[in-house]
Amino acid sequence: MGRYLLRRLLQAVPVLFGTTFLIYVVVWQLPGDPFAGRCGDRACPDAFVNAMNEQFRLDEPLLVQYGHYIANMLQGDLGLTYNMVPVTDLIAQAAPITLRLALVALAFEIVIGVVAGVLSGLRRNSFFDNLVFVSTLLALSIPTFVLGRFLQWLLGVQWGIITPSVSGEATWGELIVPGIVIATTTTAILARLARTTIAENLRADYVRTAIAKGMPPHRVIGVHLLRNSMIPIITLIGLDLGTLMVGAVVTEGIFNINGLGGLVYDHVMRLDSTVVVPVATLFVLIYILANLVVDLIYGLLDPRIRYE
Amino acid sequence: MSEQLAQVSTSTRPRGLWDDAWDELKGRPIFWISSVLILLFILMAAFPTLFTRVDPHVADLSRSMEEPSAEHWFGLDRQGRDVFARTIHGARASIIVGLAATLVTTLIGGLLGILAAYLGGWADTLISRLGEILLGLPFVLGAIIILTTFAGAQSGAGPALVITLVVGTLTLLSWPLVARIARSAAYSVKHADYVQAARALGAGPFRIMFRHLLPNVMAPVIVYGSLMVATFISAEATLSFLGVGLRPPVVSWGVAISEAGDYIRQAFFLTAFPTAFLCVTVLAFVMLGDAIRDALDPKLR
Repeated sequence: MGRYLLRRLLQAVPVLFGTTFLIYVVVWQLPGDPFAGRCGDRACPDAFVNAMNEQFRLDEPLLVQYGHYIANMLQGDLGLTYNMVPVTDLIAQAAPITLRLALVALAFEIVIGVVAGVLSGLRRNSFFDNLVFVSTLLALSIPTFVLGRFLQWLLGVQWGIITPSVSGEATWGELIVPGIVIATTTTAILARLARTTIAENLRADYVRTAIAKGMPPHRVIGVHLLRNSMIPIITLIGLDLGTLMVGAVVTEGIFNINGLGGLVYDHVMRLDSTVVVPVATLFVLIYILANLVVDLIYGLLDPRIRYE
Repeated sequence: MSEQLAQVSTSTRPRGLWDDAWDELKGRPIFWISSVLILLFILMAAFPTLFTRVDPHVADLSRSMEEPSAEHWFGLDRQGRDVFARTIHGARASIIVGLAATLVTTLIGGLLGILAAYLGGWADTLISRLGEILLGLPFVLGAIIILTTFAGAQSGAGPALVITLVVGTLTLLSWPLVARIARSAAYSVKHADYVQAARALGAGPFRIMFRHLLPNVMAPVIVYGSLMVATFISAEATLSFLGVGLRPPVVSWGVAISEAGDYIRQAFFLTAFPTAFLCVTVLAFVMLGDAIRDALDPKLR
């Protein structure tokens, strides 16, 4: 187990370096003068341009820039943005908000998606099953930004139930609707996956054996069936953590939430690339760790899986 | 029994997966409904003038944001352009992006997946790791970074170049998913007896990859690809909405929704019509993808 963990973490290192380098190359090759429009209508003073060039080493070869950047990053120094704000501070402010948003979305996915999927898998071709099928079809057809805009208009503007724009503190209550918006697509996929998995396992020999042994139905379903059906469901939830961060870019934009997604979007749009590499690296790191955690959960659910 | 046998022996070709899948599809109303809808949208994309004779670029500023009427079914937008004409003409961008991106992604992903499975070793490691990097990067974020990078080249570029750029971006970020599916499908038959036999008979790498591995990869990749069209159409609209995908003067639903967004309180119809068309298109492709998956993957039925 320990060796397995170590090996997986070591394998993640080249992926992380590959990611940072790839993004770094793309991002710092942004065409256009990064200082255009930085200083109002007039051109930036030479002193400012020089100071920036020195900090980001924009005039040196790419590889030197990158090496310098990584060395600083490993020491926890992510530099300043073009507006002289430390990148670390910006991330520290935005990260908890995005995390809260992701947790709300995750809770919605698990509660609604898994429960609806399991129930419709148990009662195939019932009214409830058909209702879930039509709902998932609709949920998959409505793009996230359309749903976000629509709910914002309906609940926020027309009915006045929620505030159309989330405040700076971004409390849990304010994040419920944006969280649901982010989670909708995955909830539908999750419900469908849970339904087919349950329906498939319901025909498995071990379920028949358990029923034949005279086990009460709640034990057959709750212990045997559910536990064996969890692996694909947990895989999907793990892979989806990345999607939650993405939904963040669109949904945070619509509801005006000051999270990581909005942070990156704002800065890319202003041709300020300082924030992009660290945040993208953070996302990839979360993705890799989530996959690792998912693989470790497999072992808990299915004792046949061994880590060598 | 003897009748049945006689019937089987008279048919010249053995029934395969594709015949079964077609039989299954034929009997499903959802397949026909979605096909008709998709054909309608493709017709709209190819020949928009069949549906409207109004030029989507003609603007009459004095009639800005006029409500829907008999003359202008969907009303007029902020610049006084006919929303019906713009919605019809907007189909082209979505359909082209959805179909082209899916085609290129499945071809590249499928090819790289088969190569990774067949070659193994460092080629497999390289393709898989590269895929992992691209998949770890959130889709929309990656697309925003790539598209803004080329935004300079995009200004003043023709619609064809802009659409190519969006298709290229979607492909670049999505091929690893297809490659992963193709790789595992090809890998599962790589050591099968018939492949070994073909190798023993002197079949070259190309023959093994395309005659023996490819047919096994087709079904899972087609299943995935058919659902991917919907994802790409939705992604194109999302990126255009964010202002990094297609942009005016290209007529597209995403652009229209983005432009109308600021006036949602005064003129809801401006948002409603392109949104409805977008959602119905995505819905049609999701339903078609569902039907194809059910037909090709009987295990999930």
